[in-house]
Amino acid sequence: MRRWQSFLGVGLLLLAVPASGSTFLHMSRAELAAKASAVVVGNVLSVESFWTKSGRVIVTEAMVEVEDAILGEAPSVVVVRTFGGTVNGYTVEAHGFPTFEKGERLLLFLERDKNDADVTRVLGYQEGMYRVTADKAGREVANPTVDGGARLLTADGKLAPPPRPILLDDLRGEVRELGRRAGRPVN
Amino acid sequence: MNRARIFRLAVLSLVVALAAVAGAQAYVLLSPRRTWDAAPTYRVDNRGLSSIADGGDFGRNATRNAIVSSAAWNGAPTERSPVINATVASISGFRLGDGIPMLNFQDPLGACTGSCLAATFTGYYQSRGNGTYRITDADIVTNTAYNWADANDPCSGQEFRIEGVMVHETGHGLGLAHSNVAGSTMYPSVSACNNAPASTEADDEAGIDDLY
Repeated sequence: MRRWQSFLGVGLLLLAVPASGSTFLHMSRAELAAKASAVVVGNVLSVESFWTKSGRVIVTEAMVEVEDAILGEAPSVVVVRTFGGTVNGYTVEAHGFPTFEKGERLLLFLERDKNDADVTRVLGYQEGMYRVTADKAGREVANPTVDGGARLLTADGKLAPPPRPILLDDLRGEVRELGRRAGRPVN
Repeated sequence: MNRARIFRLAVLSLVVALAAVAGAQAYVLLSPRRTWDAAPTYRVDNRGLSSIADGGDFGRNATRNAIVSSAAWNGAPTERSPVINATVASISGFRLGDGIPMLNFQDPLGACTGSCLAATFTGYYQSRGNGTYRITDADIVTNTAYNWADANDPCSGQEFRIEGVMVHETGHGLGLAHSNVAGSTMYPSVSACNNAPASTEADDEAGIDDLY
């Protein structure tokens, strides 16, 4: 029966609707681990969208309570910014960018904004963010957040393979190992 | 025929039917469905892209011409007014939500860095009241850290063709999402030096026909 359920799942996936798109070059987890200022697991305490001081764009900030800093140093609460959001009924949709929801649990590859050292962003856009949920056995699974909004290309221009869900503990171990290989201090 | 076999056949039939539906309507619209009230006029950044060596145009007119070409969005088979216009102009005062769609060859927002080649932003108000949304602005920014080329700039194999990428991105600005038809402009893949996405295919045109 499970096999047929799988077929049904494949059929439904064929109807899955991607959202939209910007164009990004694919970053492997090895690249993400090598370049991230920190890799953390945490819970989103709050989410707020607002126009930037320049008035040019709506951004959204998530306050994330850090439970585990896998690589690098991170404060106990980190504010992570992404582009897009809704203010007073007006929505700016930043296609292919990370989005946050209060209460969700995330694994994040973080970077400091190159233009504003006080701002922290998700490295690699959606490729640098996983939503953590529990499977039927109660194990924590890190689910990729890459959706149809991101057009991910490899260096030779081919479509990058979509990332797959992975057990959170396995991903933690992988990130630590990738960090060691990149010569980074591992927590 | 036992119940398990009947169930298997039913599931298989459903999968085949779903696949057929997905294949028949390959283009995908942004969700929620959204359109412009009137054809937008994109301002194409008159600074151009300095990495494009095309005799001094820096890709600005090549990009503008590709966007409005009858080989792209304005060539959909249904006879109608153009769905998109473009002009080469200053994009000073670049701001999302100002009602002026702009194609910025730089990234004043600092939004498209690192692995990002080009990013599209759309803004829209709430429902018109009939379940659809009105697009009031759509802007594109570009990462100048990468090398770009246009039709008048020999592509060495490492550059991305600006016309194809921007016709794809303006497709999002018009309300289209990614298609699963390989070779279509809205298919989410393009290789370096490949400018095929600058010319829309039947699937892209069907999507535009649906919207406008």
